[in-house]
Amino acid sequence: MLTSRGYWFLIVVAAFLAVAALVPPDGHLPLTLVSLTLLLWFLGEWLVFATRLQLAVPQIVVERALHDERGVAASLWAERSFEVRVKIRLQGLSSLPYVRLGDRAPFGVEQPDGQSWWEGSLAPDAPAEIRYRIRCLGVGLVRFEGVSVEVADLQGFFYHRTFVTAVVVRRVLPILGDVDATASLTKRYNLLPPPGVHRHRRPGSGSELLDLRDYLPGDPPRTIAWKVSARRDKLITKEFESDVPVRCTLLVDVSNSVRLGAANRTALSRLAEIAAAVAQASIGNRDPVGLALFDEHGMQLLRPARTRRHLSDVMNLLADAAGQEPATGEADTDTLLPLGHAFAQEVYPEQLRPEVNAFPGWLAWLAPRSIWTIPHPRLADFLYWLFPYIAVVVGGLSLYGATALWVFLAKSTRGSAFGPRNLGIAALALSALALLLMIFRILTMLFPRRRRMYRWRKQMAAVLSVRDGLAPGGLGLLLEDDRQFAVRVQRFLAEHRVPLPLPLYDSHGRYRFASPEKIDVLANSLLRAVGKGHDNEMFVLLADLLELTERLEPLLKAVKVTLARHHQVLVVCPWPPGIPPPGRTGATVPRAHPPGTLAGAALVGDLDPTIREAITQRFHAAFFELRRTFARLGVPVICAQGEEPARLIVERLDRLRTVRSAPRV
Amino acid sequence: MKTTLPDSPERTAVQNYETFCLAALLVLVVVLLYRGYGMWSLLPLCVGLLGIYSRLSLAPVMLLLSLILQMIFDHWLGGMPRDELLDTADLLQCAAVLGYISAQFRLQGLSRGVLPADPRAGLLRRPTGVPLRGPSQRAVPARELLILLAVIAFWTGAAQLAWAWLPEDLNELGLAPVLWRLVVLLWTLGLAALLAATFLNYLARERMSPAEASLFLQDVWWKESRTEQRRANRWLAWARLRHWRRRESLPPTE
Repeated sequence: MLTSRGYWFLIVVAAFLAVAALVPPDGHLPLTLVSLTLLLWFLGEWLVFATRLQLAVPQIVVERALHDERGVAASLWAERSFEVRVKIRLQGLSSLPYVRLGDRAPFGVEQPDGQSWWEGSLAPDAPAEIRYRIRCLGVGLVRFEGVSVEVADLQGFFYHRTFVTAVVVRRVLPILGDVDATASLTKRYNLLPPPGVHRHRRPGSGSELLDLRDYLPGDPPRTIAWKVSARRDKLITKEFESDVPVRCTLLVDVSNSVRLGAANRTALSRLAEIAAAVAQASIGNRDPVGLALFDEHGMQLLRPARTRRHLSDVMNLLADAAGQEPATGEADTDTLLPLGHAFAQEVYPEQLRPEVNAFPGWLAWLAPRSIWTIPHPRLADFLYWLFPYIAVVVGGLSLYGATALWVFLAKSTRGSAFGPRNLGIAALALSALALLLMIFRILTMLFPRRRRMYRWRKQMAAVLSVRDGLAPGGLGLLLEDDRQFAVRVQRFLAEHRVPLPLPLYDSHGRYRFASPEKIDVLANSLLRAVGKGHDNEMFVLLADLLELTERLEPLLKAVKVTLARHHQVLVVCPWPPGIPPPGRTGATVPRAHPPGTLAGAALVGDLDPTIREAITQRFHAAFFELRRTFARLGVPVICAQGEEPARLIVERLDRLRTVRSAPRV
Repeated sequence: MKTTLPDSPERTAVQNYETFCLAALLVLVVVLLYRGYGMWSLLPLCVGLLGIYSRLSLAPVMLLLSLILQMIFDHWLGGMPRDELLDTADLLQCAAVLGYISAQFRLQGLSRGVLPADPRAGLLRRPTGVPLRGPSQRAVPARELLILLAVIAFWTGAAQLAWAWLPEDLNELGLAPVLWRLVVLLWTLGLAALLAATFLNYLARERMSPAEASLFLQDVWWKESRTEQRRANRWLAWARLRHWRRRESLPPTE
């Protein structure tokens, strides 16, 4: 609570009071009164400040609203700007003379205009208002945590920082109107059916004549072609085409591999945009669209439909999926811990206070982390583990040496005069004290980062244990188990939409996020969707298969089954941000993230050009291999980044429709 | 960041506080001259003026130190120590020093910022709009100076009365009266601060959120059983780590 200014002032005034009151013979009254006045004033200011904190800060209420040009917006749209209006009111009677309020802008948005902070005096009759604009960068979720509150007195002696939580989570939906949905409505043939109804060249109950055949008992009399029957002198029955819609099922990969990257600018966001554009175009044509979201563990299916409500459901599902964050138990706690602690310090400062979450200062000195529970220990970890023993041994030896020297000098000066003897002993005692202080100082200079990290680890373990509802021993568990701790910190950060750096490759050079399990899930999803398909349909696989070109066998089998049922299949391959798409090698791709940020650290844009080139070539080779594999089955593979995949899918759907509508030969 | 314009309200507030500091200094000099310190009275004035125009953060402390000359003069250069309570000159001197120091700290807040520097590293960089620490942008209400005057008057009077009411004759330890007063003062202030802090802590605990209360209880349990928890969990963590190492060392499955 006390600032450094407050500390110094208090110390100086107390010292001044002591000197003024104790100066012989009876003190100095005027200066005693001066220092007493200052001391009482300081204590009075503290009391007023602390009372205000207790009474006023819990009474702060935050109201947030997001506005667009038409008024309050319930959902946000990608690449659109919105105004954030935050009203901060103080209930009760007390007021705060100096307060600085900062609205924590979420990750995944830009702030092109306005300032997200306010400072001034906050009183019940004078609420504060913060207005600024945000621009959503991509599909996903944005989370507003609340408002940071910094309270100080007017002289700067006391300071308190807290956070008023007012969580608001909004979906950022894909922008509408990217793909021209009117192409299929162009009248190419005179017999073009109305929108949403497409002829299918199978016998059915449509209105277009498909074929003539001999009458079979049971055929309805109204289907008999009387003129033809009369000419051929036998009963002939008319067969009509089947009127069916063109269904399209989108199978979207939401596994960890496509979640990597900065908030709302991941490969998954791009896939969601493509899927949303296709869904919008199809529903615009009154064609049903289905959606299947799959990852390593399972699938979530939305059955094909063509209502506006269904489009809204598709958009919401895609936005929710795009808002997911990647996670792996192999993440480095040394990287995650500072990030998690800094975030907790900002958003949950009350849970890190020593009153509720204490860390004994001696613990990092005398009981450091065990070397046996660190996944990849280094030499410094070994030394830190041995640190208490080293400190005790060195300290004991120093003490023993200093004492021995002192005794030796005392003995050697026994016969000398009183003055020189005492002087020598005093000099030696001072030297021994200086030596001890120096050793202590050297010890404090050792492993400061590890001691700090140990403190942060304990505080974060306590917070996560309570958040996740672990048993009372959860704190001890998270303090020792790196893997559990890393997973929970990632979950904590992901829940708050904080981008975090993750290791992409393990110690054997294997890609951590390849997720081979998703191939089986995708194959099963495809077969399940085919099994429920009625007529010729379009299946679009929006899946990251670049790292799995050698494990595609189950999927290829499922695709063969799909093709055998006369369905169409198209593969859209997501592309990592920052790498030139195939066919544009060497082209300048704008940096997706500012260099040096955490989000950008994991991307190739910040790497050495040689490594970047090697990664680019590897991705291109994998893409061409994938394209070659699927080309054998006649399935096109397109890149999500550069070939306008949504337009290609819509054109393909249109072609499918046209084939059905073509006049009979 | 908002720039301070010549005619802006911030500038006016700064000028008001500068004037306030000057007035306090003048009162202090007049009191010192009245008490017969002669040319020495100009030393606090010089230090104060330096503080006003350079916004030196040490200026209030330097002013206090410059007043030591008063003590030196009275005790070692043949001056006359005064010991009458509720003296007008004492009142004025206390008010002037308090006025200068409070206004000087306020001036520093207006020109450099009231809030201390944010110690957190820039780990959580956000897109834009994150303000840096800077001069206070708070509008200064006109009544602020009036409140300051009232505060000065109150605490000046309170200090005089407190010193006057402190007992000097109920001393069983044989201490000098002034020392006894100081001891009683420190005990009184310490106990009052302790009581206030206890009450405020109690209020804070009353208003704890469920998460904070759980953290508090968990912390108590951890303090009690830290060694046992550490021992058990280290074995478990070691076993899990060995399991994962073995699994990781396996060749990739095709």
